[in-house]
Order: sequence, then C-alpha cells, then structure tokens
Amino acid sequence: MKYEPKNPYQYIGSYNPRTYQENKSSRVSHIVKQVETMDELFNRIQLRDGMTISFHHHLRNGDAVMNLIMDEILKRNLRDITVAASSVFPVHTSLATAIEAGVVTQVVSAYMSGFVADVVSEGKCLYPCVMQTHGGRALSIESGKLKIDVAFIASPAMDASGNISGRQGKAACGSLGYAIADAYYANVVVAITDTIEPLNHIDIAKECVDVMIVVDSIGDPKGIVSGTTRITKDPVGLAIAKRTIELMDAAGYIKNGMSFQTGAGGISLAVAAQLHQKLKKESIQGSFASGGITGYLVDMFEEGLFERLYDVQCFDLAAVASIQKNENHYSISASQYGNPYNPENIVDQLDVVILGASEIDLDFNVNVTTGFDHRILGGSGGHADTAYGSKFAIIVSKLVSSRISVVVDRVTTITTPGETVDALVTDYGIAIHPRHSELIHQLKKTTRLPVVSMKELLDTANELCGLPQIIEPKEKIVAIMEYRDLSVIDVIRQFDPL
Amino acid sequence: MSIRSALFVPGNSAAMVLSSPILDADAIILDCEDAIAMASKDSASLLIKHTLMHLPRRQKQFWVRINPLGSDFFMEDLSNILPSLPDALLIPKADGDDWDEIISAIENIENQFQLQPVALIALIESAKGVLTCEKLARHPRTKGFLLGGEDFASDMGIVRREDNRELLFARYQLVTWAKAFKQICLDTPYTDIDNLEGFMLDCEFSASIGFDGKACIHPLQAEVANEVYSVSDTQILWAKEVLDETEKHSVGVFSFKGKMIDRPVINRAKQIIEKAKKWGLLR
Amino acid sequence: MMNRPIKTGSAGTLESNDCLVTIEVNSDDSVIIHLESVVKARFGKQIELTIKETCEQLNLVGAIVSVNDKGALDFTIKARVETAVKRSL
Repeated sequence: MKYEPKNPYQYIGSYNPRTYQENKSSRVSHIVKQVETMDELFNRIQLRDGMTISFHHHLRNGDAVMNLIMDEILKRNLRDITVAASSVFPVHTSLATAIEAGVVTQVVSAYMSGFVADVVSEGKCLYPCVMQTHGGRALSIESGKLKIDVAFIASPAMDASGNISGRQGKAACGSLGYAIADAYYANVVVAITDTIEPLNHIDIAKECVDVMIVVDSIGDPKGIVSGTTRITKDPVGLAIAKRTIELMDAAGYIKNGMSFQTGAGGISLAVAAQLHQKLKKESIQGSFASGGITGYLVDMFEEGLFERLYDVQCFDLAAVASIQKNENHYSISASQYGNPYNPENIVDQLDVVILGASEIDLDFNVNVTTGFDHRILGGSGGHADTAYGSKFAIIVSKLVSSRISVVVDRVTTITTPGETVDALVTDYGIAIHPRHSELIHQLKKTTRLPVVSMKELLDTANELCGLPQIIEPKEKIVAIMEYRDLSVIDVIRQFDPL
Repeated sequence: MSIRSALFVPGNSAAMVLSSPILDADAIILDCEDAIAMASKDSASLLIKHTLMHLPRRQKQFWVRINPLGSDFFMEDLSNILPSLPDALLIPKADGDDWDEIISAIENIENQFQLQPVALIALIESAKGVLTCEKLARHPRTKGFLLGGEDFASDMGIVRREDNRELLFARYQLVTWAKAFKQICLDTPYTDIDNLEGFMLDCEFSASIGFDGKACIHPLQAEVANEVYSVSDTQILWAKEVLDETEKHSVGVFSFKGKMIDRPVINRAKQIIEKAKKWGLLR
Repeated sequence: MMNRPIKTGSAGTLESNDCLVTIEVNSDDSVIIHLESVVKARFGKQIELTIKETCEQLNLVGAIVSVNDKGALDFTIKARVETAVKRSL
C-alpha cells in the first residue's frame, strides 16, 4: 500500500503536513515531446509495476481518457498500480476491470460511484482505498505525501507547442482546476487531446507537460452535464429552500458583499434560485460565488448580483460558455479552492454554503460517502472543505424519502465532522448546532422558523418510518476516510450483501 | 376553527399525502372526489383512512372531501373515513334539499361507531346551493361554507372571468349567511396556479368582504393566502394596546389615542389576538 | 367470516413512497407473502409483519400476497393491502 494516511483526526490545525516542493511550471526552455501511438507513449513514460498514476474528472461521466489508458495498462501486463483520480464515475468500467484483475491495487479519490465503487465496497481492491476531499487531494499532492509518477491529463484543446486549455475543443469543459496539482507535481505529465488549435486562454502551461498525444476523442461532452442540475419542482423541496433563505436572512448573511456556494442537488439549486429573487428584489450585491459552477450562478453573476465567480469545475454548458467570455469568471485550482494550508483558499472566505447529506447524526456529523449498508455511493468532493471554510454551512434535505430518514443516531461513515456543520433545514423543522445558542435563541424569539433539536427530528423520523434494522459490515477495511488535513477521520468496512 | 388556507391534496397519491403535514396551509383537504379517477375511488378512500389513523397531524387540520350523496362511493367514504376522525368533512354539491339526508347518513355512522359529531363544511357549487344556503347556515351541524366557483359557473351556464365578477352575488350571499350564524366561510379556488399576483388580488377582495380564507390548489397559493387573510403586526400591536388600556378603565367606553373605544372595538381586538395566537404570530 | 380471493386484485403504484400490492388466488387456505422492497435491508421484517397483521385483520385466507415496495410507510402498505384484498373478493 503506497498511500496510507495515519494521523488520527483531531481538529484541523492540530496537524500540518505541509512540506511544499517546487512545482514544474518554473522549468525553462522546455519542449513538449509529441508521440503518435500508445506504444510510443508507453515506451517513453516507462510506466512500471507499483507506480501511481492520476486522472482528473472534469469530463465527468463523459470521460474517455481513463478507460483508454486503463485498457492499455491491462494489455501491458503491469501490476500493483495505484490510481489517484480526482473522482470516479460510472463510465469508468475499465478501472473496475483492472481492480478485479489485480492490476490496480489502490484507488485514491474524492468521490466514486458506479462499478468502481461497487468493486471497492465488495473488498476486491487489494489495499484500502483512500477517500479524500478536493482540497485535501491538492494538499496531499503539493506536500509530497501523495507522489504521482505519471499524470494523464485529458486536455480539451492544446496548441502545437503543448499548452492546454479547458475552454476550447470538442469536449470543452471550462475550468481544469482539479488537474493543476497533478500538472505541477507529477513526475511525468502526459497531455491527451483531440483538438490542436491556437488557444485564447491557457489553463496548464507547456512547461508542466512532458509528453502529448492526439487521440480521436477524449470524451463525450454530453456526459459533462451528467448529475443533478435541475431545480426541484417538488413543493416540499421548494418549501425547504424557502426556509433556508429565511434562515440565512435571519442569521444576517444576506447582505452586500456576501459570498455563497451551493451544491448541484435539486433543493440546493432551488435555494440559489430563491436567493436570486431576493438579491434582485432588495438590490443586494454579493462579492463572489464559488465551487462547481452552474448556469443558475452564472445568471446571477451576469445580472450583477455577484461580482465574481471562482470556478474549480463547470457543472454545465452554461458555465462553460460563461468562463469562455466573462472576465470575472475565474478558473481556480483545487488548491486555491480548498487546500487548508493554501493561505488564499476560497472556501475560507465563504459566508454560506448549501450542502446535501445522505445521513446526518445527533452530533451533526454528515455522511455523503456511503449508504447505510456501508456501500460506497459518492464521497466528499468539496463537502468537508466548504463546511469547514464557510462561516455558515447549511445542510438541506427532506427528513424522510422512501422510508429512509436523513437524520440518524450515528452516521454510517463520517465525511464531514459535525463541528464544522451549522444547520440542517428539513420539511419537519430546522436544527441548529447547539454551539450557536445565541442564534437559536434569536430565531425562536424573532422569527417563525420551526427551530427544533436534532433529537426531535430523529424522533419524528422514527415515528414515521419505524426503527431501522442495523446493518453490520464485514471486518475488512476497504477504504480510509482522509479528512482535508490528511488525518484519518473514519474507515469504511466491506459491504455485506444480504 | 379559523382557517386562512385549505389546500386540496389528491387522496390517492402516497407521496403527496405523506408530505401534506408540512405544507404551508392551515388545513389539508384530502380529496376523494374530483381529483380521483373512478377506478381509484376505493383506493383513495382507504389510503385516507389509514393516513388519518397514523400520520402525525401536528397543529394542522385534516379535512376530507368525500364523494357526493347519490354517487356509488358516498356511503363507503363515510364508513371508511368517519371512524378515522378527520377534523372536518367537506360535503360536495351541498344544497338545502339534500342536507337533512346527508346529515342523517353521517349521524347513523357516528352512532354506530360512537363518534363525536364531526365538523361539516358545505361545498356550495350550484345555483340551488347558493339560494338555499340559509337552511344550511341555520342547521346546527353546519360549521362552515366553501364556494366552488367552477361548478357554480357551469351550473349557471356561464363562462369564468379573470376578475370573478360572475361570482359576486354568490360570494356576498354565502359570506353573509355564514357570518350571520358564526360559521367560517372559505372562498373558491383560483385555477391559474402560475398567476400568484392574480391570486393575491382575488384573496384581497374576498377578505375585504368577510371571507376567512381560501381554498388552494397549490402550496404556493396557501403561502399567499396565509398572508392575506392573516392579521398584520400593526393590527396585533394595536389590539394589545387596546386590551392593556381596557384593563386600566372600569367604564365600558373610553378614549385611547384620540379614538373612542367601546365594546365592538374591544371584541375586535380580542378576535385579532385570538387569531394571532392560533397562527403563532404572537412573539 | 373468512375472506377468500376469487380473482386477482391489485392496488397502489410503483412511485416512490408507495407500493404495488397484488392478491392472487392460492391453491390452499394458507396466505403466502412475497416482499420486494427498496428498503428491505432496513425495514424488511417490519414490513412483512405489517402485511401479515393486515391480512389477519381482514381475515384473509387462500391468497398469495405480492408486495413491490418503493419505500411506503406502514399506513400506506396497510391501505394498499386492504384495497387489493377488497378488489380480489
């Protein structure tokens, strides 16, 4: 096992792993070698057993590059490869095959779903995988804890000299924020593109790139917008969004200069849409919105309701179109976004973040990584980063859907520690973390918001659904939950199918 | 009973019935009638029965609109739903001719199961209903009225208008009879769910002539209705001051802030405080 | 009085928070319950118990009860079973 976090989680700041190395962008008189075939590429990069390779996930479920490379690796009889991919999606079937064949023995990632998540949950990967956060991944690479031998960077467009842009090409995806650390610090950087043309904007300079190769297609742009990017029409979801806005307002966060981030879940997007109306109606101008950028945030930005967008990843084509044309729509790297030891990281400047949860417990710990049966279904992404950095982290969810309660006694897996979560807004009431006793008092006194305790929500859920049977996993640890400061916050054990 | 908004929810949708307690309406009307296809009537009736028996109701009222007298489902609805204790029954196609027969069917089942008398709301949706509402208003079992503008217009053979001018007589007639006998009176639904502004204007008019609240067909409408039919913070403050002042005076009539305060004014202040208490508006 | 189905009856839907219940004629007096549920791992035992109790309250005999559950709460399951049974008589 090559990548193994060991320090136990205490609270961020207790452990500083930072030992920065010099990055590659300062190399001088560097020439990018262009190769024609996969054979030539593999001869050149000298990939060997036991090495660590990396991928970014900006093409999301439309990505063709990881499968292309994994298929080559499967052909070449390599063993004991570690894959450090910023996220893994259902499209990545070849990685699942490589894990089952024992070719890949560890995965390090901030999010995984689909076949790879299944084979890892079932204990088929030799070493425990490491589930990171987006900011933590950048830190682990920059600090040299996670050493990447070869980074394979899907590059939507390149110029003839080897510079990379995410904003042009057939599979334009906008920001390349999650690939920056890989480009700076991997021993060998391979850029894979399907479009060679002059660039208007450079995301990754040629100084970082060692080898480039042109292929037929790096991915299907339709897959980029996979995932939930529609506002909920469900009246209950809309009611939750409305209460969330009232809570933000009562807590004093809706004002000039506010900064805001929201996930791409249906209720989170409804919060963005209702914030849009409110800012417009009351002529309030925010400073910035950040994160995965959606068309909803672009609309607010283009109407002047936010001065700037900080974009680590474009969630839809409207965001891609905006980053191509709007000056104050900035690409940022994962390190600038959420690395806790990057002094200018954006999450630390956030006022409010709206997040989802698959479970939240009596201590406000949140799980977005596994189901109650211990099967891996996702991962932190920026969840833990933004909850920590923001002044007010709000979780939005229906209390019960299809008999499953979001509020539980104890989360199956800790993705985000409760001490960094401030509020939960549900259809059956709002729970505020007890450390905000003054706010709780104020809300009860001056608003009609239904403030309740987390225990009351749990009791309501149990009254509706009944007490769930506890599902024990098997003994084997299949993944380690690495918090954003690279400490160990939890482990995931092998899923036990009934 | 004071209801600013009563929201119709189709009685056969498990998901909608489940989420109804947390929607923004003072009363939820679980519907067995118009929202339910013929083939699903039995299913809706039984889902409502079990829902009422087990769903935590919190502070919300749960009403049920049953199928009308003369339909195949009237008796079945009554025997399914009355024992599961709805807060009120909404009786469709009500008029003076049928009212006694309906009441006696209900009382038979109430006696059979030894139930407390349920509150009855008459849904007035015919020309005859409007003209014979006096009989209903005088009946001790009637607790209120709801006007159904769509069916009323089709009974009259007229087309609905944006400004509801065709409903003027029905509205004044119904609300005056209701008030004469201390019953609640709810206004007809507004069918254009995308036009919340039009909905608000409609609510404002009906509130101005005495309606207590409005039947709603979307949760967003209920939210607006709650605002319009509510008491304002200024009214609450005024009422509190009047009542405080009343305690200081032994005589029935006195002057406060340059205005004469007598019994009708004091009663109005009491009503405002009562409503504010009920809707959780007192801080 | 026992209730014995004479034909197939079904009620409910496959929408989330609901369930689809089908009652079929069984060859003997027993009541056989088949449960498929999206929350079987968490609530399977409780759901089976609810179905069994509802059938007993309805004095059902000679039936095959198949429930395809999409996360319905107990009162929804009871309502759907009762409707399906009545439709099978």
